[in-house]
Amino acid sequence: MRFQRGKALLIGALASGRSILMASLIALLPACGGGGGGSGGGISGETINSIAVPPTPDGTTNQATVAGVDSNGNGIRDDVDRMLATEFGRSASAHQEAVRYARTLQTALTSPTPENVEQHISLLRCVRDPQKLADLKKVTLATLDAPIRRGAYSTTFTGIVLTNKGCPK
Amino acid sequence: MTAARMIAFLALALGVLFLRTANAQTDATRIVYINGIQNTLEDAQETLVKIEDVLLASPNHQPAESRRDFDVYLVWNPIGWYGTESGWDSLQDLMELFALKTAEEHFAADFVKLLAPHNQPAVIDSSAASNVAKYLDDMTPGDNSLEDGHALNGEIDDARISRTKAATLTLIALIKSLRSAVVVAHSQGNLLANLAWAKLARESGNDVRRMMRVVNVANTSMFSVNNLNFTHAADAALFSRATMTRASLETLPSWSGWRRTTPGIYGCPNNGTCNFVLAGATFGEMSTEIDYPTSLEGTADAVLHHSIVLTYLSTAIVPLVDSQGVRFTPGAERFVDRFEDFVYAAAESLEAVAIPPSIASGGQPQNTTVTVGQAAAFTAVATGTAPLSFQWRRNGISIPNATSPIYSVDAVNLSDDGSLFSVVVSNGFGSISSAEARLTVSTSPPPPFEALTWKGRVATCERCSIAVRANGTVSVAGIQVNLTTSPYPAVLGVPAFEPGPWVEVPTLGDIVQVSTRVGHSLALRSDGSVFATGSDEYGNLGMGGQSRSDWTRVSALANVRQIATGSASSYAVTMDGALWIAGANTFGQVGLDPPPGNVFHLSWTRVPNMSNVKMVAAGDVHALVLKNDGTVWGAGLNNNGNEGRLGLGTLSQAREWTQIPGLANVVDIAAGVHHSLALTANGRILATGSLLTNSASAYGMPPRTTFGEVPGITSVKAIAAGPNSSFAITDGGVLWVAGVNDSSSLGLGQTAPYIVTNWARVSGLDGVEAVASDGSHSIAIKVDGSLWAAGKNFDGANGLGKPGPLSSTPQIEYVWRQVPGRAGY
Repeated sequence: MRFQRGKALLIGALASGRSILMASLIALLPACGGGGGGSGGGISGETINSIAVPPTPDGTTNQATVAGVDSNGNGIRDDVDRMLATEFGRSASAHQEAVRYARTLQTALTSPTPENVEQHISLLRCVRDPQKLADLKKVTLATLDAPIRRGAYSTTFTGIVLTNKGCPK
Repeated sequence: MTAARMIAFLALALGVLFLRTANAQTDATRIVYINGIQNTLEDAQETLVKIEDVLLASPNHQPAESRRDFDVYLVWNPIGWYGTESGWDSLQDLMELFALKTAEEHFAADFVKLLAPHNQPAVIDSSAASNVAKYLDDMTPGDNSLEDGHALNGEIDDARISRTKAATLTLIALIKSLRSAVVVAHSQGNLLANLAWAKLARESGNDVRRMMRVVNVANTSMFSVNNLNFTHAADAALFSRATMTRASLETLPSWSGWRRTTPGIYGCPNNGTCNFVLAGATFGEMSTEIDYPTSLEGTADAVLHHSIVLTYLSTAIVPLVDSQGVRFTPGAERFVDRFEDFVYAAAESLEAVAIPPSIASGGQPQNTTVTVGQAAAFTAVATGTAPLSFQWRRNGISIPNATSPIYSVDAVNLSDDGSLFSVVVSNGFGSISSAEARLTVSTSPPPPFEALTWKGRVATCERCSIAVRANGTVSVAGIQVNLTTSPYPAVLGVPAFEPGPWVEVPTLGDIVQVSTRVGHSLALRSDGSVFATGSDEYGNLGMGGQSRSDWTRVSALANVRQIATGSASSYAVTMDGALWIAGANTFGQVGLDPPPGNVFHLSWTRVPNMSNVKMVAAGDVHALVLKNDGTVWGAGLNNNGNEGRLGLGTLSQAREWTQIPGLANVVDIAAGVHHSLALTANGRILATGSLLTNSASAYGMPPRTTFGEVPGITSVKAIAAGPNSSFAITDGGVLWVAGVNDSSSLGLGQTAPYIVTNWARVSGLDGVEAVASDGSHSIAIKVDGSLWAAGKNFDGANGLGKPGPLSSTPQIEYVWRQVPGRAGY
C-alpha cells in the first residue's frame, strides 16, 4: 500500500462515537439550505429536461449582489438552477449531485461561516474522477459569473486545506 | 441561535478533527501543494489527485522497497482568476505576481543567503531571513508599502493583500503542524512558499531546514541578468535552482540591475502562445507544445490554464538541467518523471538535516514566587528534531519521573525556598540545558486576590448555567449530557441530576470565578488554583487530552487571577501578568502554534513575550487580552465575511497576538462570537464586528471592521457579550442591552424586535452586578444576591423549574424573572 490509509474523516468520526453528533449535523443541514433537498421547484411552469425551473432572472437585479435572485427559495440562484437543469438534467443522479454542490457553494458565499465552508469543501474531498471534477467546476464557474462573486469566493475559501488522506484509492 | 452556535462548533470540531487526522504521525513524506493562478477548488483538487497518482506510481523507484509513502495536502491560494471566458478579473493574480516579483527582486541577495547548499550544513543567515520575512509583515492591510508608486497603484488593495497573507500563514501553520513537508509550489504559489520559508527561518533559524523544502513548478516569467536567462532567484534559492549554479547566483547584481523580460499579462494573446506557456520554467524550456483539451482552445482558459495538471505534470519532454543533487533516473526525460525525482530528492534532503534541541528565549523556565502550601509550575518550550525528551532537575539533580515539558509541585513548603529548577532537553542529535528558574517560597499570606468585581460570577453554556455565591459555593442549572446535541459529558462536573432547578456543586468551594463554553468549564479558587471539567478533546482543559467528568485541579496552573474559555481553547492570566493557554489554535485563537508534532496545545503553555496582562476575554475562535497599560491585543479569526471581529479590518486571522489599533485606556473587554467590546476609563464602549448578514451588529450601531465608539450609552461600569448580543452595566447597576434578542434572551418583553439595533435599558432590573448569556438564555446577579433569568428555559438552562419533556416547547421568559429560592450570589 503506497499511501497511508488512515481513518476516513467521517467514518472515523462515526467510529469514534460521534455517530449521533454527525447524524444531528446531517439532519440539520438541509434545513439550512433554505429549501430542503429537492432539485428546486419552478414557479414559472417552465421545465428544462423535465425539471421545473424558475424563470430567467432580471440580469441587473441578479448581478447586484452575491446572493442574486433565488425566487423559489431553494438556496440556488435562479440562473444557476436553469444551468443545472440544462447541463445535468438528463441524469437524475448527476443533477442531484450538482444541485447539492451548487447549494453548499451558494450558502458558503452568502454566509461564509466555518461550518458552511466546511460543508462545501466536504463534497470535494476524495473526489478523484476528472470528469466529476470537471462537472463540479462547471457549477463553480456558473456561480462565479461576476467579479463580486469571485471576490467572495476568494475571501471565503482562502487558505482552505484539502487532502485525500484516508480516502479510498 | 443556539443551534447555529452548535453547528459552528461542530464545524470547528470537524475541521480540527481533519487536521488531527492529517497530523497523525506516520512515516509518510508530507507533500503540501500551493497553487498558482487558474485554480478553482476543483482545479486544485485535480492537481492534488495528479500529484498523488504520480507519486503513487513512482515509476523511477523500483522495486517497491525503494518507494516512499506520501500524504499529500493542498493549501488553496486565492489567485482570483477562475477561468470564465467573460472577463479577465485577474487583479488578485496581478497583485500576487507583482508581489512575487517585488519580493524576489528586492530581496534577491537575501533569498540567496537563505539558501543552504544542498545537503551541507550551513547556518541560516538570520539577518537575511528577517529582511525577507518583513515583506510578509508588510503585507498588512492599510499599512504596507506595496500599495503606492507602481504600475498597479490602486489595484493592490487591502482585501487582496489580506487573502494572500492569510493563505501564506495557513501554509506556515500547516507545515508546522505536519512537522516537515516538501512544498510543491506552483507558479504564484512560489511567493507564498518563499515567504513561508523566510518566516520559518526567522522564527526557527536552522530548524527551517528540517521543516520544509520547496520544489518549484510552472513559473510564470523569466528574468535576464548578466545576459543569462533564468527564473527567479527565489525559485532557485529554495531548492530547485535548476538552471544555474549557486556560485553564479551569489554574484547577482542588486535588484536595480535586473531587466524584466516577462511579457505583460494583458499582452497575452488568445492563441495560447503567451509567456505563461512558453517561458522557461524551473526545469527548463519545454520542447513540445502543451496539450490542452480541444474544448479549451482559443479561450481564456487555454491561455491561463497552466496548472500542473495540464502542463508540468504532462508528458512534455524537458531538457536535462543542473541536477543540484537530484539523481535523475536514466531515461527519465518527461517532466512527469523528473517531478518524481525532484520530490524524492527533496524528501531525502529534508530528512538528512538533524537539528539538535534548542530552547527559545521566551521558552525558558521562569522564576516563580508562591506561598507555602500553594502549587508551583515550571515549563519549557523547545524545538529540534523529534522526538524530544525532557528531564527536569532540582538543584542540578534529576527529578524522578519529571520528563514532560511541564513540571509542577503540588504544594510547596519552606524547604523548597531557593530551589533552582532546570530541564535538560535531548534528542538523537544532542542535548541542551535550560536556564535555571528560582522557586521562592513566601510565608506571608497569599497576595490578595485581585477580584475583578463581577467577572466570572456567572457563566452560561449551551443549555446550562453556572453561578458563584459570595461565599464561594457554586450552583448549576440545565443539562450536561445531551447526546442529541453534544458529545461532551459533564460540562457542569456534577453527577447526573434531573434538569429543572438549580443544584449545588458539592466538590467546589472558595470559588471566585467560573467560565464555560460548549463542552468544557473552568473554575478559579481564591488561592489562585484552577479546576476544570468536561471535554479535553482538543486540549481544552490542558490535561493531555483526557476529558473529565468531575471538577479536577489543573496541576500546571498556579497563582491564577482570571480565566476564560473559548469553544475549544482555554486561557488563564496569572498574578505576574503572564498569559497561559491550552487547546486548539485552528484559527489562531490562542496566538501560539502548538509545538512541532502537535496539532493542539494539550498542556497549558505560557505564551512567550506576553506580559503585563490584566485580563483575557474569549469568543468562540478569537480572544482579546487587556494589558495593564490599557492596550488591547487580539488573536484568532478576525474576518470571516467582512466582519472584523477583532477590529483588525479585513485581515483574515491574527495567528500571533496583535495589538488592536485605536484602543487605549481600556479597563474592560468582552468577546462574542462575531464581535468584540472594549470599555474605556471614561465609561464609553467601543465595538467591532458584525452579525452573519453583515447588515447589522450586536452592539447598537452599524457593523464595523475596526473598533468605534457606540452611541447612546455612557457612564458604563462593566460590559459583557453574548454570542451575538451585548450587555452594559451603568451607575446603579442599570442593565442595557443590544444585539440579537433570540428567544427573548435580552429580556425586553414579548414585542421586542429580534435584533435590537439601539441600546435599550432593561426596565425593572436595576442593581445588576453580573450578567452572562449564551444567546438563547441569560442569567444575572443583583447586588442583593438574587439570581435572575431571561430567555428560553431549554432543558432547564434558566433553572426556573422543570422544563417538561424535551420534545415540548420550552418556556420562554420574555422579561427578566427572579429565580425563586436562590440567594447569596
